Amino acid sequence: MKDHPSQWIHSGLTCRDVVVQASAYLDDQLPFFTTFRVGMHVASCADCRTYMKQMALVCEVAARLPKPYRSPISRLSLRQHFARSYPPSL
Amino acid sequence: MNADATTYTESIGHNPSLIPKSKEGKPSGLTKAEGQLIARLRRGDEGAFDELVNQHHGALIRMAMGYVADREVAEEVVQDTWLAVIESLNRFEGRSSLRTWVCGILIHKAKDRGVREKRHTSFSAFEPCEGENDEAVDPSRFQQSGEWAGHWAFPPKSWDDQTPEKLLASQQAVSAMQRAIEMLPATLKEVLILRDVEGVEAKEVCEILNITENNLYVRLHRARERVRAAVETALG
Repeated sequence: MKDHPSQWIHSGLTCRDVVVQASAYLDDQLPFFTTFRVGMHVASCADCRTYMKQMALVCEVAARLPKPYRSPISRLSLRQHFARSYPPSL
Repeated sequence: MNADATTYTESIGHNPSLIPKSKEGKPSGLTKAEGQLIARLRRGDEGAFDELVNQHHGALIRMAMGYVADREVAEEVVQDTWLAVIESLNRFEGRSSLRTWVCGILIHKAKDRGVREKRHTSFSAFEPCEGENDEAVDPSRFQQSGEWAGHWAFPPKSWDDQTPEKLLASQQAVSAMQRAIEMLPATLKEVLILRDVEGVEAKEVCEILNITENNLYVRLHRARERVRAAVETALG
C-alpha cells in the first residue's frame, strides 16, 4: 500500500468525507463514533489538519470582527419611545 | 392571553432570582439574567433598555442585511424591530429566550421588507440557495478517481503563521471576511451571524430560525467555507 498521509490511520473516511463534516466536528455536534473517526483521520492527514485549523481560525475571527455601530439618532428616538411606553415605576 | 402563557407576575420584579415558569410549572425559555432584565424593562429602567439594545443591535443589523439590499434599509428594519419589542414587551410570555424572541421579530420584519421592496435577487434568500447535496468545497479540489479518490488533489495552503490576532490586524483579511459575509445569501448569513459572530448555541439558532440541526450544519458549513475561501484568496 502506498504511503499516503490520509491512510496512515484507517478511519475509513476520505478527505472529502471529513471536509463535509468539518463544521459539525468543530462544534462537537457529531455522534461519538463519527467524531472518533474524523479525529483519527485529521490526526493522520496534514491537509485535513490544515483545513480544520483554517475553519477554526475563521470562526474565531468572525466572533471578533468589529461590530456595526448604532446611529445616535435612532438610539435617542428609541429611548424616548421606551420612556413613553414604560414610565419609571416609583 | 394564551392558556399556556407564563405566569409573569410582579413578583419577579421583587425577587429577580426567580426564573419565570409556565403555568404547567415548566421552566420558561428565559435565563435568569434575561428574567432580571425583563423585570427591569417593565419597571421602566432605561439603562436596561440600553443594555438590551447594545447586546443585540449588531447581530440584528447583520441579519437584516441578509434580507435587504443596503445598510440604511437594514437600520430601518432594526429600528422597527426595537419599536415592536417595546410595544410587545408586556405581552412577551417568556416561552423562548429573549434573544430568540427579538430575532424572530427581526426576521419577520426583514423578510417582509425584503419582499415588499423586491430588493432580493429572485427572492432566493427565502429558499435554499443550493441543493442540499451540493458540497461546500469545490469537488474538483479532490481526486476524482483512482486509488486516492476522495482525497485532496489541491489541498489548502497552510496558514501556519496566522493567529486570530494577526488575521484581525490584516486589513486585507478582515475586509475579505466582511465582504464574504456580506455576499452570503440570507439563509447562510443568518446562521453564520448567529452561531459564529454572536456565539449563539446551535440549539437556540435552530429555534430562532425554525430549522433542524442537520440543516443548520449544512448551511453553517457552506457559509464558513465561503468565508474561509475568501481569506484563502486574500492571503494568496
